[in-house]
Amino acid sequence: MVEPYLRRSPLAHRGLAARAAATDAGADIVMAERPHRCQINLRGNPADIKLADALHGVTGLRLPAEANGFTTAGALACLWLGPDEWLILGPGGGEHDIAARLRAALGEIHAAVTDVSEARTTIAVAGPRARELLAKGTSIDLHPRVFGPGRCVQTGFAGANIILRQTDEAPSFEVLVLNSFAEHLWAWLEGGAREYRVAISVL
Amino acid sequence: MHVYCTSVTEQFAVAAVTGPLARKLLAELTSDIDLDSATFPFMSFKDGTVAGIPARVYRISFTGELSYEINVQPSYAMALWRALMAAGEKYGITPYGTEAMHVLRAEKGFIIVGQETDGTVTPHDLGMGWIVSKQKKDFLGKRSLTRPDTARPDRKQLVGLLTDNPSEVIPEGGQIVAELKDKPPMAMLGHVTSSYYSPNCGRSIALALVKNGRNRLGETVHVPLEDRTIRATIAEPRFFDPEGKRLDG
Repeated sequence: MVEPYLRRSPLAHRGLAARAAATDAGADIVMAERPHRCQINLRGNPADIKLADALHGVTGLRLPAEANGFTTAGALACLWLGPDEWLILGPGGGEHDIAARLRAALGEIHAAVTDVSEARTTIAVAGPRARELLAKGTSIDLHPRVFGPGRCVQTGFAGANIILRQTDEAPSFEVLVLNSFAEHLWAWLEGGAREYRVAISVL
Repeated sequence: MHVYCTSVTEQFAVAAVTGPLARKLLAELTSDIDLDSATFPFMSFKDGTVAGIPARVYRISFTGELSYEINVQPSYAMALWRALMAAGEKYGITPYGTEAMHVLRAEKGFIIVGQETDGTVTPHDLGMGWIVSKQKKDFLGKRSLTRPDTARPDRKQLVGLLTDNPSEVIPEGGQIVAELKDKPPMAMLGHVTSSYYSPNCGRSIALALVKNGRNRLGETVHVPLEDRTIRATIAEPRFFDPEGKRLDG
């Protein structure tokens, strides 16, 4: 097998680990790449109870009840992407097992399980000014009144298609971006954050 | 139709290994993919590992040469590339870009959709009637293919052009006329879709869509330009390795 150290993330060329700050204390914004995660695209009919049962049985996740929301179960999350489409997000390495068990559990019902773990990387953007920075690149209203922890959205950001979700009140966000747009988006975000105190993190 | 479509475009990265020594090189980097032409023929694929990386290898070719397209997880694409370049060094391996690929495919008469074709061009116009099923009762586009205009024998068809002066490259988009007059208007037969200097052929080559072109093989045509007129002969749209022998290495 190939040596795992030869594996490169879409932002590996940026040398972010070498630039990581000793501490996040005092930073307006903390940015990090979170590559190589489990991402499984799930398609199916949410009205079919077998779909929700299969998902819950395999992952412990419930289907999000609302549009643009996500549920969690341990380290896993289930993001609403559309009326019949979800993204199962989790720690890297679990994708083959989860996808295989999900396919088996879904049996013959009309559904599709597609491993897209290698298609996107994640840029984490957190801190007191994170919302302000992200608002520069998207028309989505990120005001806490309408967008808070547990919310996610597929949208355009600085010309790229992204999936954005908020994970806590810090606020902490995750920007999921296709590999080929990762460099553009990181450069755009770091450029847009020049007026803030930014700390690079390895998390 | 009950089908879900999910894009996996970014889930894979691809390296194409192409050329007479492609099989020899790939054989050094895989132990679980049998590369024998009998068991791994053109237009088939196999799963296995290349340089220790899980891979799906397609035996397809856009250069006309023996080719393998190696699909891996993008995060291991650099490792694959480095392994190929390191092992290929002794064979004089070199990266090639889209410009080189355009010339190689044109030598073989492989079309680029949108360059050789527009929305009016049918498979038959391209000499690719073999790709259309005669058994299927229906398919998307069947009605269009049976319209009287689509069945006309004198439609614009894909042909090759060989200039009288082998070092002259016709500008792409050049209009083709059969009868040269002192000034326009002249009846136009079609236009040049691709045109390059081909190092393999040692001369210029061009692809063109020409009215009733298949029946004009060997005829002389003219491409009038602002400052000069280029004379050329209509030829088969295959200029190099017409028997396709190089496809097997």
